[in-house]
Amino acid sequence: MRRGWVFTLDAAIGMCALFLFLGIVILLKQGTSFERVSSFQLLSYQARDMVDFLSTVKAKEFDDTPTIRRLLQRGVLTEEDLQEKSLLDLIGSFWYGGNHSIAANITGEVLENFTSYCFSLQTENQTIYSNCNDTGKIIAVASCLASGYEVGKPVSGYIARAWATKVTKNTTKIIPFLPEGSGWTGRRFEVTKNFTLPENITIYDAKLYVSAHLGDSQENAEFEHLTVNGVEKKDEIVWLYLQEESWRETTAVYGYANVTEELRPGNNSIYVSIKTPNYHSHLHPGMRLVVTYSLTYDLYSSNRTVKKRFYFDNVVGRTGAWATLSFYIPEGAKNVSGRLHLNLKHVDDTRVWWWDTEDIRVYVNSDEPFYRDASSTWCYFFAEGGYYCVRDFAGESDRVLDFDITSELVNGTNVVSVYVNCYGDYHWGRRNATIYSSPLRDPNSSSYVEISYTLDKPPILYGEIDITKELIFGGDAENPKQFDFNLTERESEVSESFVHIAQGFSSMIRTYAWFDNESETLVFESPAVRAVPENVYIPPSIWGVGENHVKLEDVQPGGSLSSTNYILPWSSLEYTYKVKGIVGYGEVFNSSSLAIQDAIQRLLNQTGEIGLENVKYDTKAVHGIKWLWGPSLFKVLVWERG
Amino acid sequence: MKGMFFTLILVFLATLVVALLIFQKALFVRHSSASMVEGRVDTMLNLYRDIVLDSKKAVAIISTRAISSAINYVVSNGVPLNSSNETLKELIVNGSINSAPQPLMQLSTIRDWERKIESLCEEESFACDVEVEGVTILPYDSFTLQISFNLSVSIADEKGVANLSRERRLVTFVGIEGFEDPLYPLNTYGRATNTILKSPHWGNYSEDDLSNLKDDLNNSYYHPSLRGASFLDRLEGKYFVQPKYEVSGLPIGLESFVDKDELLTLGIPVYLERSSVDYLYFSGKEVEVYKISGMPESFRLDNETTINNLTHLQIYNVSSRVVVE
Repeated sequence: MRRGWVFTLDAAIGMCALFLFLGIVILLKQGTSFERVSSFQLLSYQARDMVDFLSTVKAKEFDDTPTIRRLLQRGVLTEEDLQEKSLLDLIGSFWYGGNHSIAANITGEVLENFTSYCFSLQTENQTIYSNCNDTGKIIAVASCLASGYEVGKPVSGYIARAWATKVTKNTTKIIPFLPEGSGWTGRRFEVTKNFTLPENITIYDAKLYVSAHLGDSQENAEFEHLTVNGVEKKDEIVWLYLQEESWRETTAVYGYANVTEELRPGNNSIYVSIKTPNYHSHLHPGMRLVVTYSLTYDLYSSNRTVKKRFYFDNVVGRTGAWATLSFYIPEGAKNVSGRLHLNLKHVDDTRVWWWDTEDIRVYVNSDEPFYRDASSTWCYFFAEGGYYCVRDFAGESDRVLDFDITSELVNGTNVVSVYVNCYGDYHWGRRNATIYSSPLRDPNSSSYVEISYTLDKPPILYGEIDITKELIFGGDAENPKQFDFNLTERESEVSESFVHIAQGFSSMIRTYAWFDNESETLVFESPAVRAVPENVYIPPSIWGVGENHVKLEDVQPGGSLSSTNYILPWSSLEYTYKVKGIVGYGEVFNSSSLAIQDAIQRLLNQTGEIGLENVKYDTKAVHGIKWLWGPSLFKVLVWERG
Repeated sequence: MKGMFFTLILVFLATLVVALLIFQKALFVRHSSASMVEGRVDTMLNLYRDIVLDSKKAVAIISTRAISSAINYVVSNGVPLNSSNETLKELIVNGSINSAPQPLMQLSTIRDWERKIESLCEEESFACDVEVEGVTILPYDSFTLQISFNLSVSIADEKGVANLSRERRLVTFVGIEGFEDPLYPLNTYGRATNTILKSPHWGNYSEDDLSNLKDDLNNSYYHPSLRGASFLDRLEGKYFVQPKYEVSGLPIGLESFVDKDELLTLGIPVYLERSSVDYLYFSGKEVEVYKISGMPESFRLDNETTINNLTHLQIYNVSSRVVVE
């Protein structure tokens, strides 16, 4: 019994000793766990401090670290960048911008003396920088989120806009000669046209179309001079069309001379001198100068109030002088007013017995005279085939006349005809008469029509540019003559359109225009014989995108179609359309050059193929635009050194 | 008997050790649990703090894009804004101008940012509700816009350990340097442009040496101004500061010198007898102007009062150089 008790007691003692041993072991182990928890907390605080430090301290505080200093010196960074960005922003922008080594170097330099522990800065599971190669058993992590970053995406980009301020384009300018005269039976008729082309242009092509009535095509041509800036071009005319009246030994001629070499930017002068052995020499509709040049010009937004002056050519007639000036007032124009100023020189004062007879006659959009200097049209008798009205010559004088023609004006094409000592085909004068005009040297004393009107909106708006095209009719000389053309979507904003009428013999003209299958609209009809305008204004509202049509008819005063007055193939349609020459900011690009390229391309796409060569784009307005990527997580991992 | 005594001592010690062991275990579990909760709360607080910090950064990024969009709208169309601060607000919140979406604001509105943050919270096992409301945009000073907004954040741990809900009024500042001044294209048919850059010479104009003033003219640098339109006024095509923007108490106006010779090269009619100070030049306000000896022939300066109770002649230090005609 005693022995059993002893064994039991020994077993109990052994068990207690075992418990004691185990207890001590477990206590020691738990002590280690406590220690580990404390250590983790310490590391966590360290990691948090580092995140706070990186996200709140401005990079400016570390502008003396080697990498940042070097970047400042190279201009990669500016003082403003450093003041604006936190250290984390700076590191993040380099890292996500693909400059990994710079991001790593900055991180290392700024955190170098921050802690004695091992640490690494990571984002999106990539290590930006780590100061230890090994990893610890206990790792504390602190994180921070930041917008603007995403793997593989740039931090900031560039946007650009472009607009055309100086546009080099090929443009066509048409300078018309008026139907005007006159030289009767062998007497000289002279016209001088002075005009200005823009400075700083390159003239690619210039054709002077000549449309005149002169001596016949044989020995009596009597085409004396055609000079362009003093250079004789008479013998270089390529005749396209001749229509003879053999019984009068006269011819209606149509041809052209290439005057590209003779024309120059700035002031120019063209002089024509013609005669005919019989009947009456004069210019026919369709004589015009067509110049194609590259124009460097500035966009403009014209005013809603328009004031324009249309000058007569300087016409020197040896048997009186006459000229028909045409001009237009656009559709929708309001408050229209007009003034006709005439400076007439060497005007014969004629009489029959003691009655003062008519020497000057003016028509404005009518077959009834707007002005006559005397009411009597008496003659003693008619001579020279019934065309010359014999009267007494009572003296010669210069006359300056000024008329308010507002009440006679119409929206559309207007025609003013001025006859001095002649009125065809009733009376052709005996002596010289001049419709004086020298718009370049003496504009206010020249003969002109001045109109003014207001528009509901400016013809050209903010950022718009206008482009002019001329389409030649082609085909045969015929009467009537129809021309069909197509307007594209890009050309849909037509602001002005004209028909330039080229004719040999002419009487009165009718112009129709219409879109597609719509009914024909009569846009102009000559108010009187010989009141054929050089060009007819066609309201742009008629046109539409697609097929459009123009028809010209030469008619007799009674209304019937003229049998021998043809519309020539060199008649043309001129139209001006508007495109917007400005594009806004586009997409965000990784470089300013890409953004600018994109802006220019968008501008070219918008304006179409008009030969934009010198687009001024807004390089200053290219901003570095940040993306709202992310937010991304930046993590600082801290552990004890092994 | 003695053996019995030792045995009892041993049993007592063993019992004590076991008791200590049990106590220690309980203590450790409790400590660990508290640490876990503490860690979770810390994470939540840090997340909240990050959201607050990031909201300012995000609003700054979004505002920059909004300003670019607003300028783009004005200079592309030639039409000023009706109310620039309201338009900027619409851009920041909805990414649109008059309900028309703006390309630059695609995926870059404050609503987009809210969604992204909420999605990120889910990844961290938090349920977040983030909302930015009450956005106001005002000039802080001549070269800075102040953007204020209410940020309300609710964060809840998915296991219900803790939750947090707070609302704060926050302010962030956005500089306007580097942006285009809309007043130039608006008054030159879209042809002239000028980038807002603060003059490096501001407050440093010598009576004897006009090089700084000439540099300001040549580069059309900007200066603070008392009456010249602020950036927000300029987006509205206004020439003068409007009272609705004068709330910070600091001068908010801007002025630059119009280079008339440069305008001439752009084919724009130039008014020689107007002051070269931009808001006076473009507005056409009739003020007495003076030629300044040593400055280009086309340069004119007025004597209107600007900041610090000084006149233009005084602040640019050219009173003694006025050419008497």
